[in-house]
Amino acid sequence: MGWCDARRVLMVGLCLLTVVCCQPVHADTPTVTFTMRLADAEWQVMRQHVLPPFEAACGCRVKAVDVPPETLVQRLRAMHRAGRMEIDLFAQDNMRLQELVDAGLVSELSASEAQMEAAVYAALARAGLINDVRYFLPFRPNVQITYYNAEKFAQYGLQPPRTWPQLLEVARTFHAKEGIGRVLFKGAGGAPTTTQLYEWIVAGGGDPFNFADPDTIKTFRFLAELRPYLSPESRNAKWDTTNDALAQDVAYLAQNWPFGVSLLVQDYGKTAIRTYQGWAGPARQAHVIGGDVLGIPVGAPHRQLAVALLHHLQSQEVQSHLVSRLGWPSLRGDVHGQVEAWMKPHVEAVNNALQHGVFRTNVSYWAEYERIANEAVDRILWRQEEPDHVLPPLATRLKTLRTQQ
Amino acid sequence: MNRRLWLGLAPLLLYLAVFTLVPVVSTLWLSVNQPGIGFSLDAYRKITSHYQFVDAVGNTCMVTALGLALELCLGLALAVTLNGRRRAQGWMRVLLLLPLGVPTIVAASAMRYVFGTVGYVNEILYRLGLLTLPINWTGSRGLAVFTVAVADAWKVTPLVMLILLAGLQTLPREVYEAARMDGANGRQQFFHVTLPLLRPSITMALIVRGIDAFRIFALPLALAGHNLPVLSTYAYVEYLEYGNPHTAAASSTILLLLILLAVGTYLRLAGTSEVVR
Repeated sequence: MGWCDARRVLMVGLCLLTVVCCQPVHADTPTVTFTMRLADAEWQVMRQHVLPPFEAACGCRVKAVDVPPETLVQRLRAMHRAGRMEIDLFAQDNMRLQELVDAGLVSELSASEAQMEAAVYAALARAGLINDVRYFLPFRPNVQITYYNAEKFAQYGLQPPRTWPQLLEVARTFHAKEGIGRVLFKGAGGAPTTTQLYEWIVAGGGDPFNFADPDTIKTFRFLAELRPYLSPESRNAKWDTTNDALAQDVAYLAQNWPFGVSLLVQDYGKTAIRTYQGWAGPARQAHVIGGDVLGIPVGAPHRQLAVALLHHLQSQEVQSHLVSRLGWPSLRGDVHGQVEAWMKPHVEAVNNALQHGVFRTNVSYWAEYERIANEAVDRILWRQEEPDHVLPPLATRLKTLRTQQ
Repeated sequence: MNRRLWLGLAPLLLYLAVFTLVPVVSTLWLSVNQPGIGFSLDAYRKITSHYQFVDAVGNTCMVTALGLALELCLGLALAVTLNGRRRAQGWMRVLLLLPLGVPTIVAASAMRYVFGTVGYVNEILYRLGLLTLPINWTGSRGLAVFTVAVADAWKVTPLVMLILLAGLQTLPREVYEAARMDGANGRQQFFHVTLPLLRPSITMALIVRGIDAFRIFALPLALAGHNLPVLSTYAYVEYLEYGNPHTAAASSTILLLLILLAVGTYLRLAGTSEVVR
């Protein structure tokens, strides 16, 4: 490289540096940092339709950051210890709240801050109370619904199952007709497996936190009975791969969150995929209510703006966007009329499931519970060990955790 | 002169200290330090008594051994094929190096299309009449190990090929001429001349790839998830899903010891002089 070339490179570098340095820094504009976990398509709606009206109204900027629920506690803890809280508002999975409260990372909401409009479902507001103290407000309710391939069900003269015996019969029929299981159980491990197991145990009348409970044991025995007829893809099935299995006709019946509806119908063009609330267990119908709630960290630098953003996210305008553009179930009763025609049956399935919705109990040992639940599924379903052999030691471990809480 | 040398080395030493030594020592400390108790080997006791950790150790060793064997065989075959073909070397090398440039997570996603239940491998086997029902390539432990090892081999064989090709190109022609004059055929030349002379390059390839293979992470996680725990994914799950930094640190420390043990054993068996040569 000659001297002239080097000089040119230097000039280009200096120009770039000047351009970067001369960017407006918005020195006077407060920036509210909001974290949550979303898919790309969801972020697009958030950044195009949800946040700009708020920024215009409050004269501030919203810095939206994708943070997985499992890392939020660590991030908040690090910022809290450093005395430099950088997050103003976060959306967090409703099953990971207790650890935030126990670690003293989330601030209590005052009565005026926690005020909600009348259209917000009262049942959903309960999820934000920990030890009768209001720390969180609802944002995104979610409930597991059941997807089925209507063409395949019609082909074999089957009806979507409404009870456990019917589910077993459907699974057996698909296996007999096609030589391979077509009913999916999310058995890959992690939160998807724990959530589904929790739902089945409650439907079976058992206590999800007590593996010595006779009805809990019955649920595991039913799973063991169902195992030979399950789709082999169940071993890899999580929330995202369940959509793939349905889209590729690898599975014809599966439970999942409603986010798969627009993906399967609009993106994959799978119009044969229908949804309904699902089946009941021997005791009751139960569908886990998941989703995110909103919270403000202790020491948030822009608390007032965070509260304003929180209420904006609960507003009818925002919830309408989320329902119509993403198919999210809404926390308000006054927005469901605005969904498109093709989505109405799916929204109905969600509403039916919500009527039998169950909140998972927030316990401080949830992470450890997840490990034990995953071990039970892994050993009973995939290692084909006897439930009577697997469950007693796990029940003892759970009992120890319960007493330590 | 000495001062200049140390000044030149200082950035590298500082980098190694901050980004390698400190994290390693912190991990070691975390693995033997329980909150409220202090020094304790509880984390080690907890993981070594868990069946999934035992599986993870076995899986790590199996994936490493199978992957290395595949990479070495394929890499050697490709290097021998390319050696001496100067015209083909240019574009073939670019073509063969392409997988090396693909980010691991992208490679893993691509492999999901290859080894998925409705993936290319099942489709080809079905069309050839070798299958009636699709195989779940990550459904059982053995198949999952095989699938991950093949996927890993696809990605990193070019690196092994490059090391071996460089080694092949340094071999003296006179030795081959002498072997030919003594009546050695191609096969005999390969086994009695090429392989012994290539040992330093093979050793280097094995060490470089061996260390890397033990640390395999993204491929098993993306392809097989919880079905195929290896030590790195076990540590990841312990830390992120079960929120236990101590067992995660213990698992990472055991992985480090395993790598050191493997490299030490190999160097002892093969001899450090070969690497130095």
